[in-house]
Amino acid sequence: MSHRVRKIDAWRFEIPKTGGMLVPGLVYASERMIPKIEQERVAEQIENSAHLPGVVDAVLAMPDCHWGYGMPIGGVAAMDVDQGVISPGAVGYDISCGVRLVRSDLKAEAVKARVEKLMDALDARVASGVGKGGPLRVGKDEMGRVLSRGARWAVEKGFGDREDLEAAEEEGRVPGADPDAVSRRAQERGSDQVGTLGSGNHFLELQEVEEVFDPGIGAVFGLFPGQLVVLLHTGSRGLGYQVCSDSLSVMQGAVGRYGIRLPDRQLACAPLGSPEGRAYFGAMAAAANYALANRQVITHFIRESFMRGLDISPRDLGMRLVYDVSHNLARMETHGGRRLCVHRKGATRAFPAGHPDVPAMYRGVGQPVLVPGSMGTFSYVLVGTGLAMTETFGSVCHGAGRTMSRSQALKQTSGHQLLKDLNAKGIAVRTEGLRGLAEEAPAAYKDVSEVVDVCERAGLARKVARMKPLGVLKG
Amino acid sequence: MEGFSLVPHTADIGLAISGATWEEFFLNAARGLLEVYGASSATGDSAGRAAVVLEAPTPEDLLVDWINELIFVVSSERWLPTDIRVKEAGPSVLRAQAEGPRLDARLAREVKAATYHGLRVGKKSGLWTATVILDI
Repeated sequence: MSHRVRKIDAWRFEIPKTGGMLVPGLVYASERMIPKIEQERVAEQIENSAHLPGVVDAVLAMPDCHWGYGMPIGGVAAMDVDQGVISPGAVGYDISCGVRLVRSDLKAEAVKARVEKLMDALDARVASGVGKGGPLRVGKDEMGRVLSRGARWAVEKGFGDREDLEAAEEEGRVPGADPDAVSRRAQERGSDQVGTLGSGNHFLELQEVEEVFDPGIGAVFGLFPGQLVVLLHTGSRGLGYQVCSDSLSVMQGAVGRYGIRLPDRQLACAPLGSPEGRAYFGAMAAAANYALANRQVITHFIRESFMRGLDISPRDLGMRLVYDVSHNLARMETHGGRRLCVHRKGATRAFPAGHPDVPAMYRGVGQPVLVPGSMGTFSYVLVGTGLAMTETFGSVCHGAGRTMSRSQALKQTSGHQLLKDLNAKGIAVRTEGLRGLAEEAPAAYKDVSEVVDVCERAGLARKVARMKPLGVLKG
Repeated sequence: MEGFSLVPHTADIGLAISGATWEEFFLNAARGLLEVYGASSATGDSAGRAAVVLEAPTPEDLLVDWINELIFVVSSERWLPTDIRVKEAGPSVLRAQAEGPRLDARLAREVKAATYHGLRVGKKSGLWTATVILDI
């Protein structure tokens, strides 16, 4: 372990405050994970992020952290609302990239023989792949409503049920959105992508709940062993990428205007109260609403595919939203009496029991925290703790986290072999390209179970359920 | 001399670019981007055309703006800028004409944007060089 990282306890490592850092860094990890974290320059990126004006307490990194750009993936930084800045590079390009879990009343065992048919139906209904457009075209006026109303727009348009909104944060709409702050280019880039999965690490999985660790909380979330569920991972598509690009360009100028000095231009930022800061916040919230609408429309397509693929009524299907989390987002929150802008980039909000922002149906136990594994491995449902509220601004990990570059993954795995291996495990795969499949090989990621264990042992979250995949749809 | 190469990055892809002149440097950036898309050998009738005029305070900003301009063309207008004529190029200005076939084959991967992370344009052995991280 280098001088840069100081062990606090088995699951906490400090990056002491040095040079121009305003706060220290705090990494949640096992000792085994630390060399890779250091080698990957995550420590350096945490140090850089600790230069952001108004940052409080510490810049955090979750156990799934890895080298990104600007702030590392798996990073959390909270800024004082009055003194601090907002930084698009501490949110990322895929604004409100997130995960949605949809439950059913079906036992996985009962549909195993029809998984292939179900995957065909999903593949036919949910557009996936690089830059792919879907069946919806959203015109200029309609886009304004998507950007301001999020999943509510989708439900109002008939894509889903009112109940879906009850299980969502803020009833499926991020407040503070300013559609006018979203450029014409960004709106154009997103005009045909509502209801599409995209590519890269985005996927849709048909899963079986393999184990419920906490049956009490599991029951509140509507989960039971052997159950068939669907996990969806996608975000704001081209619209969000363009909002980030546009805003970063504006922020490059803002840094000079406000006399901000940063070690990495990708962290360019502006005071929260400045015109540039407010414009980015409004555009980011609008992009997050686009992501929520996207995931809601896909949820509707999933329901339709199930009804068609299994020839089943909505009542027998019992499909409803468990929860929807955004793991790339900056939000205004209150922690310890302070108003903060909490930037999470590859980290999940995990508010515990009793928190007013947790939907009423979950307030007694805490919000579900959805942690997808790498393709073909386990995924988890966790629940946040009071300790996470005091230590991590109510944040935990967001997934497995990459550990290998795409070129390395391609060298070690062929798409054909991976497809064979997944099929041998009984996992039905639908993909647009074998190359993309190989780039997302499970070997390119950390072990999600180890990541989740570190969070649990550090006291940031508790395991509620573990799911294993039956089918994967990948762009 | 290829003028560009792909550099491994854990989550994304690095694109190393070089050129004896600014014209060559920006042309190689565009060629490198097409390589990342897996579309270097795309051919077909011209389906899209754009006149790009950019001004930026530094060569780093100019490079990011240039690549992001081409990403927009591919992802939103759905054509591949395979034929690029750089008309004027310097450390803070770029005028170019881009043209190319419709995007109808599958791309190897989606490129979200060019980032500023660790980006520095410098002169090495008489060549303008830079490594830009593309978010994938």
